[in-house]
Amino acid sequence: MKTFFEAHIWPLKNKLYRMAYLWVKDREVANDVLQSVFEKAWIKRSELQKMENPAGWMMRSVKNESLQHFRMSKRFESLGDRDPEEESREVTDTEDAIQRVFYFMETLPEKQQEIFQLREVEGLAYEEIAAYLELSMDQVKVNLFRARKALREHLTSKRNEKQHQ
Amino acid sequence: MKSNINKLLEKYWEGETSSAEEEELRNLLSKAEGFEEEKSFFGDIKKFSQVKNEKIQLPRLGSGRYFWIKIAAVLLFFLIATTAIQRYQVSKAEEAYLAVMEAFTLINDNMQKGTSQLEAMEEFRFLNTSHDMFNLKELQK
Repeated sequence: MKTFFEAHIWPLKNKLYRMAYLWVKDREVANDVLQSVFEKAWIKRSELQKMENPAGWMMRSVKNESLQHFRMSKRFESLGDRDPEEESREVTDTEDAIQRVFYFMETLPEKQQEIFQLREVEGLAYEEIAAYLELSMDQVKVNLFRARKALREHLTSKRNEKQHQ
Repeated sequence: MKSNINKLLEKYWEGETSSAEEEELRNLLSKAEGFEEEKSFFGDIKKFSQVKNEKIQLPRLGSGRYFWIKIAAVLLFFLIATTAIQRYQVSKAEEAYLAVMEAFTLINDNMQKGTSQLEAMEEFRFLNTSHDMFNLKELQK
């Protein structure tokens, strides 16, 4: 029989991994972030079981851990250990499709990126997104509307470029 | 089909589609001609949604990165604490021994002082021996 952790927390790993990837822009770092969050969650598993929204807690933990990673890497940068490849903080994925998705998402403000990914990639309902990111439903809807508007413009400009060629 | 797609697309851009309608839109787009940009973008999104993490390991008791370091730290703490307590107890016993010895020395010193002061009393033993000093029997004769 599966434990609560195996049944409810562990299945979130791929969804959380893609969100960590959005925040840290690197697959290896995203993996480290996720492993660290799962270890913390494992220690707190009995507390998680009592929570109303354990998935939301996991999502926020991944975001905090990602931000922690940035703070740490900035501290190293200030010590002169700056990695020139990290300067731009752009995704350089081996898969073109993913590279294209990130190319568009990086044009959006952070909140819109998060909401857009949770809706379009993860297929979450508005209520779930609001709970995951601790936002109101209105904020979710407005940000998603703006992100889609930007997507429409992005696709229109691509179409126009093709027509001009 | 095209008008249906256009209708759903309009709703989608306005952020008014339900999850089921978005699913329907993707299905219709995959079968329809045209809409190349939308099809391509939704295809890319689908590929991204299939990205999986193969490296992460399910945490188990003792699988944490710092688990053994923590265990070692706890053991080291107990070792140091036990040694410190033992040393403290030994030093306490030594202290007690020294205090007792000091008390004995003090008693001994005071005893000696008292004894030397009582030396004058030695003379009192002659008080009852006047008959030894004077031969009273001879005098009586």
